[in-house]
Amino acid sequence: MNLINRLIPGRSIQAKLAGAIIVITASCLTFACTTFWLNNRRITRKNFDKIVSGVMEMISINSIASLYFEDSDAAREILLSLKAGSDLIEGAALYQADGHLFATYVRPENRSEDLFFPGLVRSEGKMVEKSRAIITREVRFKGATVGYLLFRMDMTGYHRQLAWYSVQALVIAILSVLLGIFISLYLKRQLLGPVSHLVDTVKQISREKEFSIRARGASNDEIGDLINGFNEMIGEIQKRDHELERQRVGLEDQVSTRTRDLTGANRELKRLNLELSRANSAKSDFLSRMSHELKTPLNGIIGYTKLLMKGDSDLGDMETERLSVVLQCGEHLLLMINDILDFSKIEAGKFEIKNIPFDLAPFVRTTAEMARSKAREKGLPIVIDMDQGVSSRVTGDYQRIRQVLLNLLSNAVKFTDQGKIVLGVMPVGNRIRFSVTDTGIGIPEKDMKAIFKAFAQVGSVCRKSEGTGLGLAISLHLVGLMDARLCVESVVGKGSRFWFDIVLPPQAQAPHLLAPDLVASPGDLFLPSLPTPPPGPVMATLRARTDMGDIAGIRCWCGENMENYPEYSAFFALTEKLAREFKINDINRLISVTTGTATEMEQHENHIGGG
Amino acid sequence: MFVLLALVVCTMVVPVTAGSVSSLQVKAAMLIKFTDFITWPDQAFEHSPDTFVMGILGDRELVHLLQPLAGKIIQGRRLRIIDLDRAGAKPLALHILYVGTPGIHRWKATLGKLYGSYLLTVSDSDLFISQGGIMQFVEKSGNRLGFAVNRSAQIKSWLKFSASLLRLARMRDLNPGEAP
Repeated sequence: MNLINRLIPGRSIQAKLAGAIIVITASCLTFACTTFWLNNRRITRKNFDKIVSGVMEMISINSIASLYFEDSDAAREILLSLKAGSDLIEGAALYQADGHLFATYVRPENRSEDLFFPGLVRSEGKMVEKSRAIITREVRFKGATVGYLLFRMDMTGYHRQLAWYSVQALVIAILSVLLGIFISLYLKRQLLGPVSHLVDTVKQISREKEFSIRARGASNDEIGDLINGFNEMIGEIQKRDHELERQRVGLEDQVSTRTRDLTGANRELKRLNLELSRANSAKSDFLSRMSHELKTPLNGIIGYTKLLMKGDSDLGDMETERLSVVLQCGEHLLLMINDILDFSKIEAGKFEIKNIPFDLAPFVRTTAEMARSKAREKGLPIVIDMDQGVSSRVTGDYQRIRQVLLNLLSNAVKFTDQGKIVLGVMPVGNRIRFSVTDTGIGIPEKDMKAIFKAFAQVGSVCRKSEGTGLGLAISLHLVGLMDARLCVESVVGKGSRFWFDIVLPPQAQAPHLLAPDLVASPGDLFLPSLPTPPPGPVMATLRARTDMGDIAGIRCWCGENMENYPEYSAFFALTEKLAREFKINDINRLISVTTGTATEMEQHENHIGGG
Repeated sequence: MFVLLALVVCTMVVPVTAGSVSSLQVKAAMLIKFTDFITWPDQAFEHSPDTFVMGILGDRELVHLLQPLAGKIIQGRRLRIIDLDRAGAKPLALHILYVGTPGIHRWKATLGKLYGSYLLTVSDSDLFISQGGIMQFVEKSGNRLGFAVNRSAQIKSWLKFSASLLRLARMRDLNPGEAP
């Protein structure tokens, strides 16, 4: 088929079929005619040779005696018998054994021509020209040559016959090819007529996109099946087309209805969302305001209670004990308010993690110390287990880390009656793992998830519950903000272990002389040239006021004394600024850094930390 | 009468070139050549299995011509030439009897002294065939020598003549009246 495609490119199958039939017919006929012609030629040649050699043999045998007895009359008579034979032999001659001409014969119709016979013949031979052939053979008798016989042949008739065979073959071939063409044309019409009709129909359908048109004239053969199949297919397409059109219309209606619904719902959703975020921000706002508002009087209560309890007032044991209850309640309330404040900040997404350089070893020591006051009450030791391989000078939000650790430590103290609490620090890959392990009551499996939820306290029924129940929820969030996870494992009755792994990059430069807090609040507290005020009654008074949380009083006091104590003026200015921004913790720290010792500072932090 | 009716004479012509080859030499050659076209039955050689005997009557010259050919192999046997004019009364077994014109009146008597009847009789006398001879030389125009054959005598003699030889002999119907 490739061959046909190459021979007849880009034509219809009709042309290809006709071409194929003609090619096949022509090649078969060429082969057959050539074979026929060659065979005829061969047979003719063979017959010619046979006839000639037979006649020569006969004449030879008959002429033996005449040659032997040298009777030329008899020899002539014998040659004369050729007259009755084929006209191919136009002349013959007999020669004696010595080669001399003995007798001749010339066909009557050739008499007029001057036929030439050689005068002397002494050997057998054959000489063929275009239209003549001369054949000579010996006449033998009893083993001796008695003479020679020469035939002179006219080859024109022979060639004419061969040519006639060629013409015959050619005529047969041409007639057969014509017959092949005729048959192929007939077959083309018969076989491929329906196919071309089908092709026309297909073209019409694809041009007009009209699926109601059908191909006609199906016979009982494969083409008929094809046409029937095509008609069925087109019918099916027409059906589907209708169906699709119908569905499309329905779908459009449906889509527009849905779009309308969806737009309405969307609008409603937006409205609700707006309301919700408004409500949420109102809640956060409320909480943070409320906490601030609550913290100010509470600081007053705590401060003045402490003042009352500080030795110089004459209070009886009864009053002292009652005051200590007031102090405890106040501190607990402050703790809860701080927690709520943190939580609301976390919810509002206002919590930020800072990167402050600090020393890990003193940090851990201080943190443990801060938790110890509660632990001492229950007689529990807090043991620091710090790996030597931990890099000491690191960068991170130590306040938040401390907040989490203090929360975990206070929980451990809360739920442990005997044994010990271990605060562990160890390197894990490029992170540092902080862990708090206790020997307390443990956490049942079913409560593992609940403990991290806000306002949840497990086992609070049998415990003297302290705190808001927000501690672990806040810790979880803080650890999450530091790109870590807070993990827990516990065995009921044996103890629990909480840990988290955070990245604390080593410090890029030497730590500043000032405390990390002060460095980390650029613009606000960075005062490298801050003069060191002499410790004395002025600072003691300021500290006492700070402890009371009396921000308004601090501001007033700083303003009044700025002129009385010019050497403190810078210090007072900073304190007043901090007081203006309500940063009681920072004022405390400022006092500790500038005047107090490390112990003082830790004591102070112990005072404000926890949760 | 039957014999006369059945008498068929064939003659053949052979050119006789005067001068170079004499008529007698041609006759001698033809006598020898005849043996190539005639077959003798085996019984003809019962008395002398190894010899082919040719007897000459009434032509001494021919005897002289043929004598040198004695010993030549003919029909697989040695040729022996006998001059019947000089031979004694002893019976002979001949295969060819040539009768020269001078001996034409004695040849029948000579037959009585021969064994067997498988004998080719040849003569150059014009009367020979009419006397019951088998072959007879015939002089033809242009100094040519032919021969004639008495078919009935040939058939009776049990000798087989080849068709080629018979074709060379010219056919001639003899008038029964010419018979002796």
